[in-house]
Amino acid sequence: MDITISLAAVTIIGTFSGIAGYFLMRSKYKRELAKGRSREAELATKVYETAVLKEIGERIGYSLDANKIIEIISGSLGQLLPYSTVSHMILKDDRISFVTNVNESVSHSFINDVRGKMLAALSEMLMEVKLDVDVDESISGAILDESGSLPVASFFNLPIVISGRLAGIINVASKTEGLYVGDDTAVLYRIAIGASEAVSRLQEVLEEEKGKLAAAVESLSDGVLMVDKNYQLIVANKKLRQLLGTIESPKIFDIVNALAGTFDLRIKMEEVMSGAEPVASFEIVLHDKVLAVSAARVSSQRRQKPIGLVVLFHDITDAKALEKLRQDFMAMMVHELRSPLTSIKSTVAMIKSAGVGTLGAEDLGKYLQNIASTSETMLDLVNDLLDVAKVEAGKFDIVCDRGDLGEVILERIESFKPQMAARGLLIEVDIEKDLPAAWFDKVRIKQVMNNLLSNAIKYTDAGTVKVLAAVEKVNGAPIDILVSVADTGIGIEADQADVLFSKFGQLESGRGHGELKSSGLGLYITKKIVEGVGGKIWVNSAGAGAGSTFFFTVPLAAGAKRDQAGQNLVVPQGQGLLKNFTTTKVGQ
Amino acid sequence: MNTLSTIEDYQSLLSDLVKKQMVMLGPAVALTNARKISALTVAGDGSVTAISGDPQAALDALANQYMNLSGQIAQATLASLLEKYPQIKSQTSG
Repeated sequence: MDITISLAAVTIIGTFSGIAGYFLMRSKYKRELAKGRSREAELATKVYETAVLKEIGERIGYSLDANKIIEIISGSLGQLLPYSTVSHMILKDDRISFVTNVNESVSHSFINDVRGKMLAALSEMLMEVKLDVDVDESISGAILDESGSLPVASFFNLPIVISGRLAGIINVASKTEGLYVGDDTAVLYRIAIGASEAVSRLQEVLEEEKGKLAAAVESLSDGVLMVDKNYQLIVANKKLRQLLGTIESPKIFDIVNALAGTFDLRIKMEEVMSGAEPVASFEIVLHDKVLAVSAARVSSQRRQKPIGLVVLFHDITDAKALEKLRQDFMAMMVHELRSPLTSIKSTVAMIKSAGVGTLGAEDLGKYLQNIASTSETMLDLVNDLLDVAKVEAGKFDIVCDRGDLGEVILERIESFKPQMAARGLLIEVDIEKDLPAAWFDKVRIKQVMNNLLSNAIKYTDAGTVKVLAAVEKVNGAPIDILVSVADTGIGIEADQADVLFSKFGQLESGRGHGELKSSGLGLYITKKIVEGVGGKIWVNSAGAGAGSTFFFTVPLAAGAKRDQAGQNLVVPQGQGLLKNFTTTKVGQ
Repeated sequence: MNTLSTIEDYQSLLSDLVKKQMVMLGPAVALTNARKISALTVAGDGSVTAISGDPQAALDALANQYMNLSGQIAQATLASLLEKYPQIKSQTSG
């Protein structure tokens, strides 16, 4: 009996334990299953979020187009949530575009309700009432059903903010009540914030690059005008504003007006944009400046479609002036060479017609002297031209050596005395006693003295030519030898002093002396020689009719140093030898 | 120590914030997120009817909750609301 009771008790307990165990196991299994499902849902959400963000990243590229972000997010909703419509509102300038995609057939009043809710949200977000602005509406998707008039029962809005500015909002709405209360919408907010941050970062980078580019364009030495394909002004840089004399922030009309009377910018832009004349180049004169204008269409790299055009204004006033000087110089040179040739030809013709045998020795000598001096003039002209050609080619050799500068000066003065006497000019010479040895190219410095003395004679009708040479000292220490050639001639206006030493100086200064033939290149070559030996040259004049004094310096031999190779000698005092010259010492 | 009037101000500010978010984000999302703050009792119209514990902590928690959804928009909304309640400050407002 006891055994039977015991067995029954064990069986009952065992059965209850089994049942309890079953329920415990079942409960545990259910919990695990719920956890698994939750993990699965979490994973699915994560995958969805990653996929949408990836798609946004791939599709927006560098376009920074908020529309695309909104379209991608809107287009992906079907995977996640039930909805009747998905809509977006984009703010652009003063207009709002409202786009709705209908997923489940709804009525027009439903869509109007959505629009009202979105405008209210927009007004709250912008803290500015936007209820009565113009809205461009677009509806796509399922056909509207006007028979039903179910209102919006559930909705939520996703704001899209780019670089701190509200770009637009997305609205998800449904006819069904009680939706969007759970955390299933949270992923969309995360996506919206993630996309906004990514695009904002990209925009900051692009803005920075754009800023750099704008600064570069602004500082260009050419005037730059850029417009988009609708002829809206994008860039009018500082130089352009200066050239055209416009205000600081001009409109395209200000620029068109500033160019009125030269060319019609509007027509030219239209021609270039239409492709009739893809690139246009021409010259205009504006405010006494000559400008080379070139306009070119700008096309997008990917689509090869015109996206705007750029117009460059290059100031060629100086180049034009130089070109004119060149032309005048060429004309003058041709004339200067033609005159002596004509003279020689005439003299030879006279000798021939008279017959060499019949001419007396005196006449024949006079004719031959005439030919000789005229040839000499021609040769001087040609030599000057050759020297200039050598200077410009970097082959004008200056060979310096230790020497007595006073001796060279005296020798040159001696050779010019007959000319001075012939013109009734007096000569005064003052060369410091015991002038120290100088470092110079004897042949070239002779050329310098020839030029200065011949100029002094040429431009002085009466009076005296004074030549001085003395050691120049600073704080009692000799630094170089200063030579001056002064005359009592026509003098030089203050503003002409500098141009005298330029290549076309004589043409620029109008100093050409009708009856005296020369290339006008003498002072240019003289300056190059003086600088080549390490000296300086300048002129002083009290003005027209007050005479002029030309000064030049020559380094002291004691100051010249050997360079590292020990072969060449260089000039001290940091005067810098011109790179166009060679200064190799060839003899001691 | 918050006085009674200050608590009422908090309640009013929190109600304004929830109601504005209901317009901006939609009622369901705004209410769901407000009700995640355990210190707050929020009615269906967005009114905060009771605050338990530190109201400043509740405000900061709610502000953070909305900022997770709409970032700078929520921050700007709160900043404009705080102008009406000079005695209240938010750690998240700026």
